[in-house]
Amino acid sequence: MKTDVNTVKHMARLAKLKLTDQEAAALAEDLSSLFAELNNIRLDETTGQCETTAQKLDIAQLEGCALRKDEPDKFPYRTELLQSMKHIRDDYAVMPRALNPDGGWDSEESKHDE
Amino acid sequence: MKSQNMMSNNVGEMTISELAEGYRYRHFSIRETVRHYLERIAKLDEGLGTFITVCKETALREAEKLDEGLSRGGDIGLLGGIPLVVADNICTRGIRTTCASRALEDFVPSYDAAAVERLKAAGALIIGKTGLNEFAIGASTEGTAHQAACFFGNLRKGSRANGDLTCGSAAALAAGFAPLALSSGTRGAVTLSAAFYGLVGLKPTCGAVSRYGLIPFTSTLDQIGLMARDTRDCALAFQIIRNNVNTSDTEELSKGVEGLRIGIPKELTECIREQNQELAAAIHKAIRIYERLGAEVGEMSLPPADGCLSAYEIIASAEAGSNLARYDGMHYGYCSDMPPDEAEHNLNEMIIRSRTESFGMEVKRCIILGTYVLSTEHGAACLRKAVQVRRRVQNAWKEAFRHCDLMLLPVLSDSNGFSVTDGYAMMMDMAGIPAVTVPCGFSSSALPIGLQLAADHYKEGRLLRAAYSLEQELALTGFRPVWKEADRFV
Amino acid sequence: MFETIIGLEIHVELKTRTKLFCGCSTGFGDPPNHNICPVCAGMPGALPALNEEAVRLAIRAGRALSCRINPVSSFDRKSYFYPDLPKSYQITQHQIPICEGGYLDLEDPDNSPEKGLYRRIAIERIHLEEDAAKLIHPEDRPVTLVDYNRAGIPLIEIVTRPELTSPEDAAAFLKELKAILEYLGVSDCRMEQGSLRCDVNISVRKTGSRKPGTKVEIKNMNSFREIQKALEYEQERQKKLFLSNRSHEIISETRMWDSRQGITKPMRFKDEGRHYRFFPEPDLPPIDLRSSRTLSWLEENLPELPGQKRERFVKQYGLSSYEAGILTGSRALADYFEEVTAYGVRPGDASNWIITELLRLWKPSEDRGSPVRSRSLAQLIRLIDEGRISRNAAKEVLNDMHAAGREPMDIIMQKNLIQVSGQDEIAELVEAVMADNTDAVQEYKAGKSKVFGFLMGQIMKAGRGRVNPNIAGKILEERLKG
Repeated sequence: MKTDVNTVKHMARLAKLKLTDQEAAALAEDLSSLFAELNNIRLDETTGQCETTAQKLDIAQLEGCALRKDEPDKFPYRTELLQSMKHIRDDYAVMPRALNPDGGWDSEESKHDE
Repeated sequence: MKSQNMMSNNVGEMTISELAEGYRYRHFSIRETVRHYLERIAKLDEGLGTFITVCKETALREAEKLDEGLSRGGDIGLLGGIPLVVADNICTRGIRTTCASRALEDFVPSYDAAAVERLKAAGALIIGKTGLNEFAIGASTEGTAHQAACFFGNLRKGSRANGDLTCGSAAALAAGFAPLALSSGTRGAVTLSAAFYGLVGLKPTCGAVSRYGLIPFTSTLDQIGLMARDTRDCALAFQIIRNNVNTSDTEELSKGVEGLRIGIPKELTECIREQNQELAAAIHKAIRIYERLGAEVGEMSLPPADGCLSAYEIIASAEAGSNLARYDGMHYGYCSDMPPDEAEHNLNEMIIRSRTESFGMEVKRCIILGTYVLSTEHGAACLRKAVQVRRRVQNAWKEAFRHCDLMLLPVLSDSNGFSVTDGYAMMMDMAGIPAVTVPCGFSSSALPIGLQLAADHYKEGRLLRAAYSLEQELALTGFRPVWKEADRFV
Repeated sequence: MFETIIGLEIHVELKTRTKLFCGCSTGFGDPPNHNICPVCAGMPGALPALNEEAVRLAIRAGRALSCRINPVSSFDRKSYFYPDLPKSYQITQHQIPICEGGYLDLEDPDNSPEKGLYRRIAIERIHLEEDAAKLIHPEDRPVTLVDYNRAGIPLIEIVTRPELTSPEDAAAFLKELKAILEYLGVSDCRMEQGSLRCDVNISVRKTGSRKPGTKVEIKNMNSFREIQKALEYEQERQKKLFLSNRSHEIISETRMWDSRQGITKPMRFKDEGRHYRFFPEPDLPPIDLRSSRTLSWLEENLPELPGQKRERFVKQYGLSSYEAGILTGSRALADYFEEVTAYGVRPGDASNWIITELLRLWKPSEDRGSPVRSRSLAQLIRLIDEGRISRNAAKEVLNDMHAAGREPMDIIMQKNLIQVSGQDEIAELVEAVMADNTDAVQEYKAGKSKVFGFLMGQIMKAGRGRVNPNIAGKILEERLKG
């Protein structure tokens, strides 16, 4: 499977990254060879759901396994937490206006992803 | 003063146990010890670049507090006054944590990683944050956005094929900047770097140590690990950070290896015999020791998995693409220079600019691959396949551990052998099993030779016991050439 | 003729003390960014830990809606960049939701036997997910303000199959669902506070057409009334386009409800192309309900649900299904009704007074109890029964009871509203009125029986409303005949 420059650029748009033509071309080549390598692997089983996660790993006892009791546990360093954010005004995080008047935003991604 | 001289000469070599003893018998104070470390860092690190942040003031302040506690006869904890370096992708409250990325160049977390919290509670003091590849992605430091963070590794110049390993923590320990390091361990970043630098490194079972506060590149292939000068130190620190405290590993250490079955992948030994006589000899010596101590050592087949690298990359990228989506310039971290009040309706542009300017090429590649995997049919098929490869790797190790209690894997560090070692490291990440590396000799050019032991899930105690037995028999401690080499940079 | 098909997606905030993945409080109305921590603020390295109460409540909802509860379900990441999403992904359940395949029975408004008593609306799934942060867009500055208090609050999303056939049905469904969730203690379901939100999709096609209609999604309704109005508007809009041969103008899109103008408008931006890049959440293990403790959640007793209660009210109290429907609209109200009857009031009277009088003064909900205690209302009704106070006076008393929170007798005594029931006293009044209205009396005697009402009115007026009308009527009749 070849990965072409357009695909790479499209992926970059989805991931909100800008690539130069050169970077995109290099990446396309790079990824193509990666997929080729994967393609050469022979596997006996070819079906199965996507299980990329810890879900079906036999690695048991993940730390989140135990359900948490519904008991409030107030984070003690709220002020520091707010300080670690970008722009805080009157305890609100401030960022450029996201919405156009309809409640959405004109984004690159919507224009290209039919 | 005798003790002063003794300390300034060898503070860099000292183990946790030695420091703790020195504190207890008042041979030296915590504050003067910390100051010596800091002086050493100031003198040597400019040439090494292992640190991204050195915590001079806070470390000295903490030291003073601990000294006071000590003088009042209080309990300062198992790691009271022990300087600690923490990789810069592990969150430290009030201390900048950058992941060696512009994306977090001035990010100061309001929380400690769970493991950091535990070590601090045991009295350890953070002396600095060490460098790594941007977000610990990839095996090379080339092309990262935050170059300044990535100059370390000159310690073993020329010893590796593809640039240096990603672990500033290991270099910092090797250079004698601290006796204990906390670091993330994907792709051998803990175990292999420890081996290269003549240290003991432990990568615990996936799930044995809380990943809370480890800033993730991959989620399921990474784990917080430890590095120290000897096995006892490593076991002590592990006992503190592990999730379920039911056995005391330090006590178990001296139990020996009698009756343990140790397997060696014959695919790996074949590779060594052809390529590296010195390593082969060192491994042979280790095997003889284990046999003498009553273990049963034998070769078995555990071939490098077909497609391991690409499967690893696909899984890691899918997770990374998602994990790194939060660096969007909106909430925290690097934000492209567009003040919010002026950037009407330009949020989308701001996100794109922030992300593009934040990340180095290696990270971008990873994100784009991850996006491809998660948004196209072909990508999804690749992911399914990669997951099957992982499953196969898991099964292979499971099967191996039905026939042996431990696997012994030589660490090949030269240009020809590294890819094999790297491959096994990725396999172990995929299987989520614990591993430890321990020095087992030196090459003719005085570079450390390391040996890696792996065991089934949650068998860290067994690993550390085996490492300790070998360490005791070899008695290499005291011969620590690496940091002396570092002195040459002065 | 046309057919309308409507499907609903309902987001309901669960009534937990803490958020879905962290110990932050879920309190409503706290100062901005008050209930936040590294987890819900999406800080790097923070990891989620699942709140068991949210799981328990989701299971309750699923069981009440006759869903299959999946013994193992899992979380996924839904990725998109937006200021309300600090991690740039939402943790939700995509592949395997916690509940699947349930239904809700709607009582048929016509109740005609051939149609069957109920119409069954299938529920596709119920899944757990986290809420996003709240965004505020100040009018004076081109910025967006973010309050993370809401980020991470547990939600369930209930998705119906497209089986509702009219806007009224949709509203009825939502009302019934809301009642069920309130009964279960799963949610407050306060639309005005955003603890219940609903997106709808609607398609219209010519009756008999095989081709499915084009699905249009509508957002931004803040009450059940608005939802019904928006659906009615949209239904008409699409019908009109069909009738004017412009059905091609109906496109699959998301439209916003403009409550001020009462119309739906297309959103300028389209998000059909948005890639959510669903991805199994690697930081959370699956929800496994096969352990002994979680198993018990599957067997917990559920309270009597609105439908069951309604049936019981009809059978046990002899109420009409209309009355039973109103009285079971919320658990608080149903309980109130039963309390009043427990004080010995006839169910019909209790129902009457509650529905026609009390509900003018009280909108029942979980934490807003009736301003008039059930015992007091029972007392008031008994006073009417005993003839000690007239119905009209009782209404006045009820208003005062509501306003001042006082007991009925206090008010009656203070305002001197005790009904005059003494024969002699009333006879005196009747005679006085007859004496003052001799013309009317003559007319009556001449056969104009209508005048009786006029005379009664005069008597009541003279008695300032306190006269027992039954007794007065009898006496008047006797005297006129006599």
